[in-house]
Amino acid sequence: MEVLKTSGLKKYYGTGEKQVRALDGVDLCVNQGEFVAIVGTSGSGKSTLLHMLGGLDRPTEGKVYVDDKDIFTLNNEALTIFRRRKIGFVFQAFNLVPVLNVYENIVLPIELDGNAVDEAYVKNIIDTLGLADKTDSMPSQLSGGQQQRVAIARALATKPAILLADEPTGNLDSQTSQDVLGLLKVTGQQFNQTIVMITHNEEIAQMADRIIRIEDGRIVKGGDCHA
Amino acid sequence: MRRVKNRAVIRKIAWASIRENKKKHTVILLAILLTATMFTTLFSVAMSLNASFQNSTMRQVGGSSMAGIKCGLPEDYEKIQNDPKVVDASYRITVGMAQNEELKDLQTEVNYATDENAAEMFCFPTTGTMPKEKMDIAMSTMVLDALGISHELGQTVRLILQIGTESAYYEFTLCGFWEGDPVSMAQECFVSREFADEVAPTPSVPSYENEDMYTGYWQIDFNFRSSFDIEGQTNALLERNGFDMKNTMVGVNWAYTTSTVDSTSMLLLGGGLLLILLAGYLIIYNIFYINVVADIHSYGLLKTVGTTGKQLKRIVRNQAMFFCAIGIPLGLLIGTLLAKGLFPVIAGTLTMQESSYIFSVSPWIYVGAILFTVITVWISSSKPCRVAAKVSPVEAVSYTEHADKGKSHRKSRRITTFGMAWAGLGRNRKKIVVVVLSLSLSLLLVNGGCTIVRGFDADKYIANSIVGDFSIQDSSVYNHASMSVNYNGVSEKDRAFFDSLDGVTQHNVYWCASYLPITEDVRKMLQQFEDNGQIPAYLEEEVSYYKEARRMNCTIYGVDEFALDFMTVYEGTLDPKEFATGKYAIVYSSQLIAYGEDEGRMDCYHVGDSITLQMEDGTEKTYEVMAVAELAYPLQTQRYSTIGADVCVPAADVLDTASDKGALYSVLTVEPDQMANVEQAVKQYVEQSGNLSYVSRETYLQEFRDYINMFYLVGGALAAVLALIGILNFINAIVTGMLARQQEFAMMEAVGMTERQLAHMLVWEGVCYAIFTMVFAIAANCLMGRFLIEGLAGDIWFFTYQPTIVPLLACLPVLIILAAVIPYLASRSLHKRSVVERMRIAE
Repeated sequence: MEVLKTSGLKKYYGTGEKQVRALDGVDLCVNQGEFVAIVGTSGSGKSTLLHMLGGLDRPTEGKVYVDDKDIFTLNNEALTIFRRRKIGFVFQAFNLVPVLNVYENIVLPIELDGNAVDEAYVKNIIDTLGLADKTDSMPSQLSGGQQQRVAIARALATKPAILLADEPTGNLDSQTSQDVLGLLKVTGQQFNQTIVMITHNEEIAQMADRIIRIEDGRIVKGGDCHA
Repeated sequence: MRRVKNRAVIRKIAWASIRENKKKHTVILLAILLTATMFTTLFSVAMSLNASFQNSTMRQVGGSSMAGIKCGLPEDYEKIQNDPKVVDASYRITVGMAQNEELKDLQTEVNYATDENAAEMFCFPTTGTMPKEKMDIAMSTMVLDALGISHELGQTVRLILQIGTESAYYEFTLCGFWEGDPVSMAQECFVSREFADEVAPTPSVPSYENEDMYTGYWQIDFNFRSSFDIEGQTNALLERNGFDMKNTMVGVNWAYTTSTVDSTSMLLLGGGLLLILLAGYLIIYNIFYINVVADIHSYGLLKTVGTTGKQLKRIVRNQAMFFCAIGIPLGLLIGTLLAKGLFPVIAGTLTMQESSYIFSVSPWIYVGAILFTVITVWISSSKPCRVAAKVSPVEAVSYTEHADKGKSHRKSRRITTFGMAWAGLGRNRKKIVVVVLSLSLSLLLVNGGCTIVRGFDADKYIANSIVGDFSIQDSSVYNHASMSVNYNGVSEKDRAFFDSLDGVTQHNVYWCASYLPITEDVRKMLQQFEDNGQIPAYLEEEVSYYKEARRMNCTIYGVDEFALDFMTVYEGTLDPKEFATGKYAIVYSSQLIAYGEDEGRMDCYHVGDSITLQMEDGTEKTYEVMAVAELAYPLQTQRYSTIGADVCVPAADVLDTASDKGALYSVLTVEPDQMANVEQAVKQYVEQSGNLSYVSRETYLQEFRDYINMFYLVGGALAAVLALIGILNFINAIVTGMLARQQEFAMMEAVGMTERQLAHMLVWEGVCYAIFTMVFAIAANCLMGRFLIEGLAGDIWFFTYQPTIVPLLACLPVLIILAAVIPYLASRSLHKRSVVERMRIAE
């Protein structure tokens, strides 16, 4: 079953001579429960693609469907709400709120939505990611790997349709990268979570179920989910 | 030290950074401009007031020269004129006094004066010239008016001149005149040198060896280069030139002495300076600091490419000085205009004559304002300079505002926009302090101003100025310049007229001068004052006379029961019925205490004592002292005697023994509906009477309102500027706080925080600032308000301290609305850029 699909996705910056085609007609789809890695060199358009998939930026042309919903028909407010319910983000820079403790960071999207926290579910995630004894800590007290695990927990806590990860190991050393990614994969399987990850690290990409290769704003390999 | 020619490049970097962030820098410019404006206004008003006081005093004294030698000889003038330290020496020759009957109320001196001396005395003819022909005369219009001569050149002026002990009649031709100054103690007439030399030739012996020490002697006036310690300079001058130090009469113009700048005004000036310095510091420091932190990446970058800390410091300093160069001149201009508007209002309440107003444009104002503004900017920018200088190139890249060390662990709470706002505030407590302080300043000022105005008691003010609705008296009573005062000016006929008016009740106060014995206690006290050296030199003679004679002056007031309602009782009780029997007197006899150091009271007479008064016709009457009480000031003579007593007895006792049946005061109380009619009638009657004047309750009420309006205006202007600074600071704190967290906000949006939730959070932050400010302002007001306000206004006699925080509370809604609206608007501008763009900023 497809949870994520794009059609003719284009993003151009500037006009005329100086026009940059960050995305130039991207068609891809991702199935439920799949772990997909998008790889490409710096400037290939992979980050732009991820931002489009998460509704952080609007495309010049084309559509993105999440759970069969054309997300760019929503206004900004509705799109933000859709995002916090359906999409989990993990960023390279961890991006935790410094004034909230670990637990509060994890449940932030749920509470922003005004929903009651599914305590058992969140506890399960926290245990899986090995953060049980850190819930009252402030982000500044954690190591990079720990911070990224909190970010992963936060992304999973809302039971999103898709988890988008933007170079999740970019700021970590190789051993920690392996650990974090292993955890990401395990939790993905355990909670039957669809994961789309971008990376320029081939070794990391090998851990995914499928690799999509992107060059100069176009998919050169692996975009079709029925293949 | 090695000198490197790098100033140019440093300036270039400073300048480039300014051009880059125009919007941000407008705030700094505005802050410096406001600071300069406030300093200029303060200095300008202070200097103008000082100059006006000086001018007003000089006009009373009748001269602008710093010092003078009285009754000297021509050779004295030669010595003075040739002294290198003396400037503007001039002289006049005393001829005599005009003694015409029409001039009996106007002291009129007749002198020969050089042009410079006439100008120095503010008596240079504005129409016509100084005397040229022998029988020419120039004089003030007040003398002309008194003589009934029209203001036309060529008129014949007939004067009876008293020259020495002899009087003679002369006819002069009017050659010039000027507007007479009613403030001046004496009016001037100038005759020709030829005439002066003929009728009042200069004697050859010094004045102190001559019987007539005035006629023909030279009054020599002169200035020094600086008005500092004129007395010392004068003494040095006399010694240098071999004057007889003991016998030479010297006068120092007291308009120049420091008495014009008393400790209260120094305190006010100092307080004003501090307040502005603080307000200026708070905003300029805050903005500079925030700017440096915002630009810290580029400073780090500059350091990696080899800029030294010293150079970075200079970049920030250069920027500060650049803003000074633009902001200060503008501030000087605006400040001057503001002062020009405020000065007449302030001066007007200080009972100065409008003709004395001098709006000072002394260069010292501008030097002071520039200096103080630069100092403020310098102090404010030194911490930011240090921050910029100390930046480490590696840290700078990941530098975020120095967050205060928070807790490492915290129990989880339910997340709300308020909770997040609260947590966000905790990150930079120093910033909160700066913003809260600067917002509080204007609030405290508003509250302080309102407390002062609230403490002004109209009844107290009026009670000290007038009793009843109208008071009619001889015009000389309120004219302190008049030589002879008529204390019996309101005649029986006058009183009958006022009594005949509809709706009027009349009460009169009669006056009689007499003596009372000094008791043994008082004699001892005087002796003690003398031993302690507390008696000023000019009173020594008088005091020793009183001690010898064992009696003191006594003013007898004949009053009816009405006056008993307006007395301050110190001892005993007032009983109108008993008083009316004529057996009792009310005594007040402690004026002399004012000369002692302790402000306590000591009375010569006490309740139950028996006193014997000698009335005008010589009859004596004995009274028992009913009470020690002071008559209301508006019913007194408006004059103090050095040592004396006031005694109130029933009106008839004074009236029956008096040769002149005129009253000192006629006090009218009027039915409210007849007020306008009575005012009209009194005004007309007084104008026609020729000798009477009247004051009304309404005039004093108006005076009171003017006074209060000045407070509102001056306080309001200052509060407005401070409020503007506070608000600017607040906007700055909110906006920079947002810019610093831009990326964090973007990330929160990425995980699902909506614009509205973000706006809510920011509004909560603003509201927290408002609440902190209010709490701080109320606390500061309660702790220090009394101390500061009583220090400022406690000396004002119609002020009573009544604490209030109502004005503060009234500001609360405005503050909260501002605190909510500004972050809301700011958060909207945040969303002009997409989440992705904002997230990327830090990468």
